Amino acid sequence: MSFYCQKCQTATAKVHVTELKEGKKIEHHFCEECAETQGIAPKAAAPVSMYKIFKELMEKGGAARRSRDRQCPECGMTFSEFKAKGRFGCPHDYDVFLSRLIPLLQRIHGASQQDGLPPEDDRHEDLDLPEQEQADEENQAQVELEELKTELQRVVQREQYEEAARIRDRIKELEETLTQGGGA
Amino acid sequence: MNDHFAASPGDAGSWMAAEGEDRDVIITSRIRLARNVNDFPFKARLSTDECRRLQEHVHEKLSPLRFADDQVYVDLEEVDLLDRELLLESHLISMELARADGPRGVVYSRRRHLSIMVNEEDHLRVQLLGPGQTLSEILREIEQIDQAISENVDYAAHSRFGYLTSCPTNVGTGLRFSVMLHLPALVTTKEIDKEFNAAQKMKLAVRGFYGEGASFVGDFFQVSNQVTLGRSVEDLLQDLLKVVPEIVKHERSVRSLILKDHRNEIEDKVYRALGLLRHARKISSQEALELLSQLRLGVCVGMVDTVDLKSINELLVLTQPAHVQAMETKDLSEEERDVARARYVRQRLGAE
Ligand SMILES: [Zn+2]
Ligand SMILES: [Zn+2]
Repeated sequence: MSFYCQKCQTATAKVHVTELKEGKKIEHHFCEECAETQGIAPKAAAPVSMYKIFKELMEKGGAARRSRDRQCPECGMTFSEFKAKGRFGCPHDYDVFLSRLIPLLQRIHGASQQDGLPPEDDRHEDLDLPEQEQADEENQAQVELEELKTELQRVVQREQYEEAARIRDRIKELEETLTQGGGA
Repeated sequence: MNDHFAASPGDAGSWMAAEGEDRDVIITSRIRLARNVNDFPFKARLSTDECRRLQEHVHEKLSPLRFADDQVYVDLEEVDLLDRELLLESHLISMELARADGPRGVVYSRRRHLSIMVNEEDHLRVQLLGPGQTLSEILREIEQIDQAISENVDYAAHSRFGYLTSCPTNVGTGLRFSVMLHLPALVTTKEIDKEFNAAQKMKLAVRGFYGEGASFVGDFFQVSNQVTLGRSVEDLLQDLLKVVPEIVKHERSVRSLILKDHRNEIEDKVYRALGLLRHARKISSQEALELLSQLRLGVCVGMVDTVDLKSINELLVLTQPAHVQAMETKDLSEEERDVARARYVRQRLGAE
């Protein structure tokens, strides 16, 4: 039997795709319209989809990957893998990537610690120094750019296109200032 | 139809009851907690064996606990696709849990107001649903459930961050409030955009309930908190308790406005919807949603008094594909399902 399209949740799913992810089979079910916007089985002369625009944007950023990539000793997660997938591998990752995580949490939640704790200034002891220096020596715009691209990927996966458009505009803005200013 | 699921397939779940004084606009409330178990990697790093070990560990720890007098545990690897789709359409499990492979399970109540998903994006996803605007009540209840689980399962937590989750968008409280609203007047007049913007400023998200992003169906929306870190659960609740009544008020005032200025148009739309629902011989689930939305508006503004709100709410659930299939004995094609759906809707609306 066929069911709903997993994207729009309303039309009947007619396009069934099986994806292999980490050795697991994951089934996707889309209606014809959504399959097309997802870039699956596109019709001839279809307009360039939002999805493709974002995908290109994300891949462009993926090439400029930093070489010094810290790894979680417990689960082997690296920050670039986390950025690509948007998911951590284990609870230790929150400590391993602490200094890179703080700006990301600030952007998502407007905060980087739970409610009821003393202000951040009193909490320097928590920061991991080598990681902190590494982040500091980076051009601030460059760091934000990379984080935004992670976030973009996340919202695109969740199909939150309005949010994605907002982030895409900010990415363009940052990229322009970087090229105008001669880059990092 | 095996007996895992509700005894009567025509049951939509207690939370579609159309209760409360805001039932003309508010359909349901929902709270979801994301929790992980200490000493296990997150889902992304769990091998199949570890997934199974985690599932068994959680099942063993949770099985002595009574969350609801009608709770059931289902090993999702052992039930067929139809049962999983029924759970999905009832919002008791996620798309991922319904359609992915691997060891995973769910504890849920037959009244369908509670579910605890095991091996979702986080090890545990606890969810409570209530009819109407019942966020405060279900918050107290879910806090008790959370407490009971935490006495038996060691949660992954951090002194700085709070509850640790697989995705940093859920870290901290791990809690997501959401209220499902019916906003046909705000949609028709495009006033809904104002509510999107106002909610955005409060860091609340307004999303289509059926369909995502810009493509929504049937004027049903979900308002939820985007932030889970740096704010207390109580503060987040207050944000919703402040914004939701504003949206309800706005929807009502626009309803009376369009009723005053465009009564003929609205009346025609409502009665066309009623006519189609009562007489059509084939209805897709999407068409059913759209027509039920229009009819719902007619009932709420007192235009139609031969159909009750509860029936409409229930039909929103029961016209979904797996629910229609579950009422039939043989496997239906899409067309046969559309025919069965139309027949069921006619019966429920008293046309035959
Ligand atoms: Zn679709
Ligand atoms: Zn790790």
